[in-house]
Amino acid sequence: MNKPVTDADLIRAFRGGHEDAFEELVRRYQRAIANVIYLTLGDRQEVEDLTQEVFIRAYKSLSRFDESSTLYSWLYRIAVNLCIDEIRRRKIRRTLSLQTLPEGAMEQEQASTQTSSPADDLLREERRAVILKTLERLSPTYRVALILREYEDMSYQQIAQTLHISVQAVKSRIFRARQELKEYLKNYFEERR
Amino acid sequence: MKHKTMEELLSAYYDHELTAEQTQLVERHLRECIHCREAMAAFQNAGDALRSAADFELAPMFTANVLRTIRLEKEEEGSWFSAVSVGRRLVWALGVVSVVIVGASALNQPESPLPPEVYFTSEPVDSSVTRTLLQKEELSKDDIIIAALID
Repeated sequence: MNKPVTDADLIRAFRGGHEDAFEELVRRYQRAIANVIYLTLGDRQEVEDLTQEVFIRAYKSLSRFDESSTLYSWLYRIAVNLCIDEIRRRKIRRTLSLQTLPEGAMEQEQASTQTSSPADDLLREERRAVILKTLERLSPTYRVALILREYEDMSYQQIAQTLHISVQAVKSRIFRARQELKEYLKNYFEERR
Repeated sequence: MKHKTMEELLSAYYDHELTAEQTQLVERHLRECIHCREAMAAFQNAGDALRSAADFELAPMFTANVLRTIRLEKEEEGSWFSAVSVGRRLVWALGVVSVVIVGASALNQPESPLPPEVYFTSEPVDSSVTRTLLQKEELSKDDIIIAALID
C-alpha cells in the first residue's frame, strides 16, 4: 500500500522543482479555503478571485515557508488576512438577504444542490441566508475565530497559531461570537420549533 | 460561579477544550440548569447552520486557472526583468562608448594655438615682427614665416 503523500512531501517536491506538487496542494485545500472566505465575507462575489489570490501568494512564498508551522494554518492565515483587507476595503457592512443576493446566485446555488425537494431547497436557502447575514453582524475577529472552529474544526491551539493570538484570546473570541450569534439567531430557531 | 463564567466554560466544553476537572464541573451544572442546556443547544444550532452554509463550489477549471495565472505572471515578470536587464546593458554600453569617444577626442585635440607674445617674448615690443604678429589673435605657420620674412 502506498504511503499517503503529506503536505511536507509536496512542499519538498515543489522546492525540488516539481511544479505539479503545487497543483496537488491547490486541489487539496481549494474548497476549504474558498468556504472560509465565503463564510467570512458573507457573499459569493469575490470568493473565487480571493481564493485564487491565496494560492498565487502561497506559490510566490512557498520556497520561504517555515515548516515549523502547518501548511493549512499558513494558507488560512493568508486567506483570513485577505478577507480582513477586503472587509476594510468595503468599509460598510452589507446586509445580505435573499433580496440582495447577487444576481444569478439563487440559480447557481440551486444548480449545485443535490437532489432534494423544492421545500428542502427553500429551507436550506433561507437558513443559509440567515446564518450569513448573522455572521456578517459579528466583528470580523470574532467571526473568523468561530468559522475556523466550527467549519474547519480547528482546535484552539491551531486557531491561535493561525491568527497569531493567544489561546485565551481564541477562547474569548469564540465565546463572544457564540453569545452574539445565539442572540441574533434566537428568534429564527424559536420560530421553527 | 457567575452565569457568564459558566457560559464561557460551556463554549469551551462544547469545543472539547476543558480539563477533566472543568468538564466534570460543567456536566454537573448542566444536569441542574435548563438555561445552560438551552445555551448548549443554541451553540449546536449555530454550528450546524454555519457548516451547512459553507457550500461554496469553485468552478471546475479553478485549479487550471490558478496555474495559468501563475504562469502568465511569471512570464510577465520574466519579460519585465529581461527588459530591465537589456535596458541596463544598453545604458552601460552607451556610457562606455561616451567615455571612449570623449577620451579619444581629448587625445586627438590639437594643441591650442598660443597667443603671439608667447612665441616672441625675446622680440622687442615695438619690432616689426611683434607689431605684425600682435595684430592677430592666433598664429599659423604662414604668419610666422611671413613675419620672419618681413623682419
